[in-house]
Amino acid sequence: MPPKNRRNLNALYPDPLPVKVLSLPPVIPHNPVSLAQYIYAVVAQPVLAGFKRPRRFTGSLEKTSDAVSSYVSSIYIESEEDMQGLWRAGFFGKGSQSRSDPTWELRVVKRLNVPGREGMLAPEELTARRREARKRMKEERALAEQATASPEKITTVDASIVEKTETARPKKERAEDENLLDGQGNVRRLERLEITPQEAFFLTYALDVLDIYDDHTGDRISAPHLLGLLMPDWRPDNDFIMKYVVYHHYRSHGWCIRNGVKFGVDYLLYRRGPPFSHAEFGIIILPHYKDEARSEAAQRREWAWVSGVNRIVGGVKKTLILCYVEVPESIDTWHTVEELLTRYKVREVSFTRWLPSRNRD
Amino acid sequence: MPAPVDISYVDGEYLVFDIDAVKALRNEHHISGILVGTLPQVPQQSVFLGLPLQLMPEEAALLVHFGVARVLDEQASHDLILSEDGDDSAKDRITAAESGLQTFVTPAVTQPSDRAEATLPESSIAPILDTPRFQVYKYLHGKGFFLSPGLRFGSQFLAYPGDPLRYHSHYLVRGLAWDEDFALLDLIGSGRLGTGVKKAWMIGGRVPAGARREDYASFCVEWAGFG
Repeated sequence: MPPKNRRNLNALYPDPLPVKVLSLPPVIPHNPVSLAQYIYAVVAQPVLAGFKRPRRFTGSLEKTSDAVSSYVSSIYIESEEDMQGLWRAGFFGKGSQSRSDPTWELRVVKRLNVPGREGMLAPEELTARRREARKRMKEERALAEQATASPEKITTVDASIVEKTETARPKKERAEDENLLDGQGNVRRLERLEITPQEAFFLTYALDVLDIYDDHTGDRISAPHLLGLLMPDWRPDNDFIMKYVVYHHYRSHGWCIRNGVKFGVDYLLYRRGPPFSHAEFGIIILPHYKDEARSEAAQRREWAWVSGVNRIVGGVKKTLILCYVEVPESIDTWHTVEELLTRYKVREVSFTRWLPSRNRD
Repeated sequence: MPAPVDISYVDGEYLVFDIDAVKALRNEHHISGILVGTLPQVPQQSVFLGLPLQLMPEEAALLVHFGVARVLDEQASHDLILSEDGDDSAKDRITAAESGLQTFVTPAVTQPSDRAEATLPESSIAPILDTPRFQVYKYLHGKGFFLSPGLRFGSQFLAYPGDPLRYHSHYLVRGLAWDEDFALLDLIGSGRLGTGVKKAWMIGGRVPAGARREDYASFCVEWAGFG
């Protein structure tokens, strides 16, 4: 059964990726009407959409230098529209002050009662309300159970609960509150959307909707240049390219793929995105080399590790996928990024625990 | 000093067949081991099993290290008995048993017998003593914890503050070498798993001589659950 707010979610998050596609009807050779429909769709859809070019987003890239080298330390989106745009279409990135989508400003506005912005509800508040309602439901249920067990005690228990729910919580004030507003009483913009290197490269290279600028020099960074910055050592099993191959693989198959660090895995796969449903799969990336001995050494794990990871992932009703990436022997000569990526291959093994007593059906 | 406990070394496993020794290990030495024997008369054997008691290599090594036990090499003992078997009576018995003429009932409790024995030298456990697993085992055992295998929770050991029959375990334990690397994903995953089952993930390592005041350092990781 779909959740009640599914229709609402569909309206909020209509696009699975930040690109618009033309929906074209099938052409049937012996049916000229279908050809007419096809031509109409090709011509009319852009006209109806007003010949709008695909929306472009702007990101910044921050480099940090240490004694040895300089490396990319952060890629982020600053403008509010771009932050929301990338989150709503494909669920890219993470708000720097939020758990996932960038709602910090909304929460502060709500908490400080900033004039003119009342009546908005942040997702965190919805969650809090839902939890509160569930708690009340449980208290009432416990009460009902007690009432059936010992009818004479009900009045005393009732009184204590009424007392508890009626004490209003004092509004919390925080030390930083006065620094959050600027001179005009607006909330200062402190949040930005952090995107992972893989997301940045996917948006820049594969979808070509993101322009990334060096936040120090202001120069625009092209996709091949970005690739060079993200994998400076240029090894075939470089951490960035290994993760990107997997990222690209699942995005191409229509999954919403997000970082799985909170469950101790490399990636999580969502069918449509975090607001729609929980992630269904947890991905662990393992390299596979031509050289058997090297593969063996790189893939070797203790049983305790497999057991532990599978328990974490299984405990939150997800399936563990071991994702083997076949690493090419050399990536020194290539002409296009596409040519480079086609040298990598991905194989998947699904891992589940089988219990004879629980898996009987 | 009581007679040393006999640990039978069979095909790489450390087993104890004597019920009194099992009791003594549990009560006096805080070593619970795992009962792995199936009792032929008892149909429901999924929860409680019987003798023999299987010890982890670390448990066997610790007992030998402290001089509480000795390890008998069952393979060598067997060969020894047969080689001393002047009148072939042992061989005859074995042949008779194999041909199915005689049936034996497996005794629930075995009695120690006067027989030829081949004891493994103490040096046979030496490789175990140098592992980070053994060091963390010894450290926690010395603090009075009971330890059991941690495979179910993705760790090396589970540490119980008392007898595992009376207490839940408090820690998921992983012993590391002092400068050994471990994946950050493991830290997050294990911390999450530990907190999820109301335990803490513990890592420890033996401190190199002179680096710190204490000679073993351990840390716990828990998920705080902010926000």
